[in-house]
Amino acid sequence: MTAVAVNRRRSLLLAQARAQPQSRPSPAAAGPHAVREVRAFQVAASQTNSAYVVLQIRTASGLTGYGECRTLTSPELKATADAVTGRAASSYEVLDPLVPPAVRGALNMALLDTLGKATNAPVYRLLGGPTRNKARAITRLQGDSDAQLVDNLKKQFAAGYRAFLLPIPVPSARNQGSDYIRAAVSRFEGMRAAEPTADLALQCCAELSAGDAAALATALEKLHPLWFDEPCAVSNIASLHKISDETVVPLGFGRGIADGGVYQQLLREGVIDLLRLDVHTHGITGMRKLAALAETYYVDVAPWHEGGPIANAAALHAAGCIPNFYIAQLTNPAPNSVRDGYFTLSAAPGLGVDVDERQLEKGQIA
Amino acid sequence: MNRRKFLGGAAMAAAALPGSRLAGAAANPPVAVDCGCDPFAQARDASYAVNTGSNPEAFRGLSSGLKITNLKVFGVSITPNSDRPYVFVKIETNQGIIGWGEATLEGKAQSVMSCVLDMRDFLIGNDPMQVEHLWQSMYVHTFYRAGPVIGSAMSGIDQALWDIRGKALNVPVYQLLGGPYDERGVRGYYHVESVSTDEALAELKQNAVSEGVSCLKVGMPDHDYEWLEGNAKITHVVKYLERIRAGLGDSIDIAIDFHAKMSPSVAVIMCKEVEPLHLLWVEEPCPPENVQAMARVSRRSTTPIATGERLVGTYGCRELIEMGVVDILQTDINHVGGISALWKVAAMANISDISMAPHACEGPIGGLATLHVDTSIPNLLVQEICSFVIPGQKEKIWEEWFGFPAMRMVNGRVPLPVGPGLGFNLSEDALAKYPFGGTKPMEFVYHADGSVAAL
Repeated sequence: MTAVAVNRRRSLLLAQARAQPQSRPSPAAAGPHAVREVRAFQVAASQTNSAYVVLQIRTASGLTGYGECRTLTSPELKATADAVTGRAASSYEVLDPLVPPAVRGALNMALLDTLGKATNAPVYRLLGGPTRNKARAITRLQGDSDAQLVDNLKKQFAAGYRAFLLPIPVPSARNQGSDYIRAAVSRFEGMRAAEPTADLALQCCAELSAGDAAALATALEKLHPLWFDEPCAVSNIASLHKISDETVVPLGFGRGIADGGVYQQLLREGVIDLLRLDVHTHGITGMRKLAALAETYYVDVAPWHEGGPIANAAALHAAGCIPNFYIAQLTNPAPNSVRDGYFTLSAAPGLGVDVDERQLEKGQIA
Repeated sequence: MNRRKFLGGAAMAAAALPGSRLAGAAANPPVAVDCGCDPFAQARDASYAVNTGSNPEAFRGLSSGLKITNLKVFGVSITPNSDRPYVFVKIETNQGIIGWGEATLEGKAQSVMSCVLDMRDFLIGNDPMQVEHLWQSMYVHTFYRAGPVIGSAMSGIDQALWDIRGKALNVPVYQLLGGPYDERGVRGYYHVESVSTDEALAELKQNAVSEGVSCLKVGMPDHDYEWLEGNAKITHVVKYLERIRAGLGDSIDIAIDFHAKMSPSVAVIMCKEVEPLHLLWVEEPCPPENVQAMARVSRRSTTPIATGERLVGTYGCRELIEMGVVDILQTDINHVGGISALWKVAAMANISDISMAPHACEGPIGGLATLHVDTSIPNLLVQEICSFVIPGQKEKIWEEWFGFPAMRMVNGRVPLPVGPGLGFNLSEDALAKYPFGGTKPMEFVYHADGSVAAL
């Protein structure tokens, strides 16, 4: 284990020790909004979403809160219910280390949703926001060929988006040559010509070698992409240096990073310009903490996820209470939810998501 | 007219912020093309105007309905010569909810009181629930960012805004932060008043044990230290600490405050010498503003190092945290930027596996505000209580103000404040008995040759 991983494990154990009361807190101590029931529902993958899980918290006072995570097994659900039932819904920080890692983000969203409903405040207000009155939006362009991507750009631009993640051509092998670089530049130029005011970030999904990513970024520098998203895998800091040393294109990382220590190291090394925070992994509070860290390096955060409407709402509430939020990549947001490049913030209590329970029932995790 | 009345009166006399003037400006802000150094530029060209107010109109649809209507600052000297008159901030709103915060800055009372009032015009008219937004504006729009004066002023305002938010939502602040970790309260430590004799030490141990106190902090036995010290002073310190460990036994944690009196060169010798005593920490072994120097001390000894009470903002703590220099951070809620900044520092510190032992050597409001953060963070070690095992006159005054013994432990823990917001009520009348005695300096300390020594 790395030193960082050891430290994290130790911190977690200490937090767990602190969070375990000497004896079970009495129902009175947990207050009227004690957690009474925890349920979870599997939502199947669709054309626009990966599969994900909806977590539901019910309190003794009759409030319901929702969260989302990527996966949740039956034993993990049971462990979660055992840890949080009877505890105050407001104690989201205390309960976090007591539940399995897979559910932490979802539990955080569900508890904040509940606390917001209990206090009749949107979640961003609970947390000191709003820090902005709307949240900048970005969406991924769909299509395989340049022509399909241009069509999709025009369609999504008309729908209100102004910033786009542009997939770079999929490399056919390791170590690309001139043809590949020219094809990528030509794709970018085609998009720029089709919608000159659109901002474009490069989406790569860590498919390139660090050297190729650096060469590609350098070739695109003069076209000023917003940033290069996941140019290569985050496993070796020295290889990330290769990219950040050779190009001035900003770099975004975050896919698959669960540990704050990794972000801290990327920031300390100066190889990251945007934290791509996974809403499912970090929850709202986790995103706030990582944003606080990034703030001191003058770096912004850009939430994303591959789930459903609850994580969409959580991303926007995080945007609404984090000072150094840059842009949100939502998954299949409601039609007409983006206007002139921005998502609106909800003024409803909690996360402000209406959930039709009957739709979920058939996926209930026993 | 005394100083407090004067400041309060001046505060009330100031005009409300003309928010409507800014309605258009928020949507389409004018651009200043230079740094604003020509005061006549605006008179020549109206489009040159810069926005010198806040922008509550930008949040019209998302406003809570609460508005800040007034801000007052109080200097409170509980003794006429106190070097740290408490600087309390009171923020009033259009719905009758008021919030209290503390901006006390040792030795610079009037500077910080003026700085709080400098922020007044900006704050009035804003939604007090938007504390993160207002914090950012105070920090960034101050241009010079924050040193201790601005940091302390922001801290008082931040705490008062959290108090208001908790009261408006009818929950204690620790619930907004996701706590409490322990309903029984927060583990604390007292200072040690006198251990000049073995009898005094034995009595201290007995009192501490019977009160359930698990941790104590002692000061240095000497008035001053040279940047290089020889055998006499080093041995004196080591013997002093050995005597305290022997007197208190192993079951009471002992911290020692070097108070930045030493150079890194001398401090590290001390830290090495006292390793066998397994102290909870050595505090500020050397002056705090040079992280490399602090790192030099901490890397050469296993004695845990604590520091951080003089740092402002998460920005001020970043280098110490990212380099993993110290074991414990002693962030002060009255200087760092209030609850907002203390919470963020704790979150950052946790990523580097650094524990928190927040500093609290000023008035009671900052202490009570700190408890809310303490019980909501995973990496709390222990909370400072600037008081002794046997309470004195100061504690009587605090109890008279709040109606409960603020920042006193029960069975080794400080009970959590009860009620929404920060969890206390305070009246201006209660403070009136202790009028502002003016700024008084901290102690002046000199070496034998008359040159300046650390205090």
